[in-house]
Amino acid sequence: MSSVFITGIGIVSALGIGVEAQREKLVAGKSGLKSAVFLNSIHSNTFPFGEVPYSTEQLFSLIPVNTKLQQSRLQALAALALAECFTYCSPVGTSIRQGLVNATTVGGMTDIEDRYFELILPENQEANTDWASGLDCATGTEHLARQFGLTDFMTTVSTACSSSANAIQYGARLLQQGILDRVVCGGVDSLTRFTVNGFNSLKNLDKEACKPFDANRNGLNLGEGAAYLLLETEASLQQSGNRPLAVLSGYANFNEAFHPTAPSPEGLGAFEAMKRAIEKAGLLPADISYINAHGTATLNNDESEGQAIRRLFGEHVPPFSSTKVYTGHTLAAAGAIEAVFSILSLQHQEIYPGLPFHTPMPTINLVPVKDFRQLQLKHILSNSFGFGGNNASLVFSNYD
Amino acid sequence: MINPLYIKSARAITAQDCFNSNDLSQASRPCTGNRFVYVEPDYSRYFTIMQLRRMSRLTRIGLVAAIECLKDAGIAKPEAILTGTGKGSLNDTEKFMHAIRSFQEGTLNPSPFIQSTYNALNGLIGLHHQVNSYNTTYVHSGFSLEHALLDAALLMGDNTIRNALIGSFEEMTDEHYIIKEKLGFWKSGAVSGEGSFFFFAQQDKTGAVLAIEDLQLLFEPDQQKIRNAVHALLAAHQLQWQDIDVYISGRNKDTRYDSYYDLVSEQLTPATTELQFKQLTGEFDTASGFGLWAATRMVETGQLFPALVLKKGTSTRIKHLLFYNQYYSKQHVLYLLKAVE
Amino acid sequence: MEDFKRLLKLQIIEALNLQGMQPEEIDDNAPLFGEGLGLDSIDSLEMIVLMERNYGIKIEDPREGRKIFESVSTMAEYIQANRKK
Repeated sequence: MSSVFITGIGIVSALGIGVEAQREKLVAGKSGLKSAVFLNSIHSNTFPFGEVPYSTEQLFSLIPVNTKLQQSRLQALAALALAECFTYCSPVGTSIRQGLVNATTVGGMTDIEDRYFELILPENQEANTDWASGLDCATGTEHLARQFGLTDFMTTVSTACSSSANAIQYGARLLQQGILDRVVCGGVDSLTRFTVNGFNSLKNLDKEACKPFDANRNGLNLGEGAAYLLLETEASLQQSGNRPLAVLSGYANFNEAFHPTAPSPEGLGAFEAMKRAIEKAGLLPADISYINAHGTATLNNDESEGQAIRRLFGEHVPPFSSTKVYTGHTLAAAGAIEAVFSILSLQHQEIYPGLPFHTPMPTINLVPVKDFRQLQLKHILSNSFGFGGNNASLVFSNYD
Repeated sequence: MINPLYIKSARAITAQDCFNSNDLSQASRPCTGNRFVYVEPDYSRYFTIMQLRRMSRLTRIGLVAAIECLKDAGIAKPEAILTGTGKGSLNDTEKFMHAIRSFQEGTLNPSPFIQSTYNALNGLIGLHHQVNSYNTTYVHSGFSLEHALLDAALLMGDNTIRNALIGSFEEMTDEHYIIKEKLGFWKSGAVSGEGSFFFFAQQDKTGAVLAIEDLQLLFEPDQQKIRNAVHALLAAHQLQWQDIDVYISGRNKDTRYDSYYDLVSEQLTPATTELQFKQLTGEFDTASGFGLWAATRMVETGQLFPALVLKKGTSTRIKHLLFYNQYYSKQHVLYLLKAVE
Repeated sequence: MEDFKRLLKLQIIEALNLQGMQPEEIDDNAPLFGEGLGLDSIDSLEMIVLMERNYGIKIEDPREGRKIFESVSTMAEYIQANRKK
């Protein structure tokens, strides 16, 4: 199977806009979790959120060129990440076939939910209702594709919390089997009252900053953001002259068919997704230098992910941590955001601390990385697991 | 060009009585108030009370279509489940939005939220059949089903899987009908519809009915681009216009966009029979599923569905089929299909 | 108490969307979760909503709920002792 090179990355999260802003906070161990300012919800101060610290208007003022986007927080977040993704690389000729594989869990819900109940009144006739099309997941992707010249091929993936990890896998297949030469893959979600109340109805939001893999963990924190990776084939590299930042060496998707929302306690899905991704990369578990865990800090996830890590790696569990303590759980964006963090780790040969950790889970006794660390990293495993038993794992490797 | 996908079985649930018979010979049901609404199957034949409690209208419909499709294929566990949907379970999304407002973000029932997630049906199919597998959902309007098909073809291309259950599901609600009305969807002749379709596809042609030989996806193309794409598609498979026995078009009577379908019709020779279906199903994001279902069933039975015939051609066989669908001129899809001998 | 248990069963049937189930089919003392009726963690969340909307009883921790929801009898006793409406 031909190699998939990553030549561009772009990101927006609670840590700020752009790769540098993220790294600065990650190295310093500074979380982006706090009360929400822009989210319109009675829960804004009840739970900490990984909210991107700018209003939608401010976000738009930062987008270099904007001619094709709707007035949408979702599209603004994604556009900033996409713009950064392309700053790395030189333009290509028209002979290169390129596309966009986006991911989102609720599309433009943030932009619509405040006006929904006026929208559904037949007698309420506005002159321009074009904004309402944002309810559709495809709409944001299409506006972004037009803005960034990616209209030749596009799609949107939605598999809950593993969405963008699945988008990246689909992109890799599109390259490896010659459908495209380069593809931008990633995901975006903005904080919405809909999702906040959804997770609150599942009673798995922590009122404090989340505590991944801690025995006293009590749920997740929601976040928002966007991240994209530019993936290229060897042939595309020869034309673009781009220098790879890393290689996507392995990937897998595995559904465990256990329960509509909860993972199996023994983590069958997580185990198989990790195992298959490592196999696909032609590696052994012992080759993995670090795991960017899904680690949402819900009771169920961390138990099953921990069990799966124990089972796969035995007594030789590599350093691991969950970066959701920095960004919150950004849902469809999480897989791509954590892919960017993994690539940053490979580029700078460093791993970021898991922030406060006190008590290991008694059943598994795993301790995440607690301090900033510089070490030799060759292969990083990144996990994204979601509702409906949908588990995805990616392996990123050094380019040398 | 894609690796061919060989379809072994196909099932449809729509506004027509096409589910139990897996056929379209019954007299057609008319639309009511510009909407074609599902004929729902008898769920008690499939599920216990305990199973039904977790499923809303669209997940029930989708799961029943998936169950029968696998039964027809004689397969208990597909190696992958891939779906496409434009809007997923709208009823659940709306229910949860209303609950948030009615109970002022208080303690809310989680079920509508869970079921509103676009991949909820995939998870349920997996649970129902105890399938541990590749599982994904595409949510890109008129491209949703096609990306599920393309991804399946790619997964078979690198031998990750040998077969897959692929499908689409869509529903319409009173509220969403109004939103789409305000967005101009019904103002120029199109009728709203619903449909769920499932296909069992495999890498190998053994026992299969229909091959998806190729698939082209074009976003907002101009008319010349469509002409070129169709020509290129035929040329890539060494076909002439007179080789096409059946042309299925997604005409929906929308005066703004139906001219796209004429671009293909104009090229047809007298050999080709031209079919259309949205007069029986209505329009929706993943309506292309109906075209693929009809093609599969017509090839398998060797009979054209009379209710679909727009213009009868001279060819007496059903071997090469061209299917073109577009959704409000945004997502255009071209299928080149061939009967498996 | 018998009448109340019957009412409670009807409320459970409605809350959990158990279409077609009769109150008589639920045993007062059989476990609601696992082996008995076969409810799971999502049902437990639905029952928490039932407790709050019908009886003004707030349950913050789902693990606490599972003890209360052991059977219709334990649930009925808990409601009688703690109801706010």
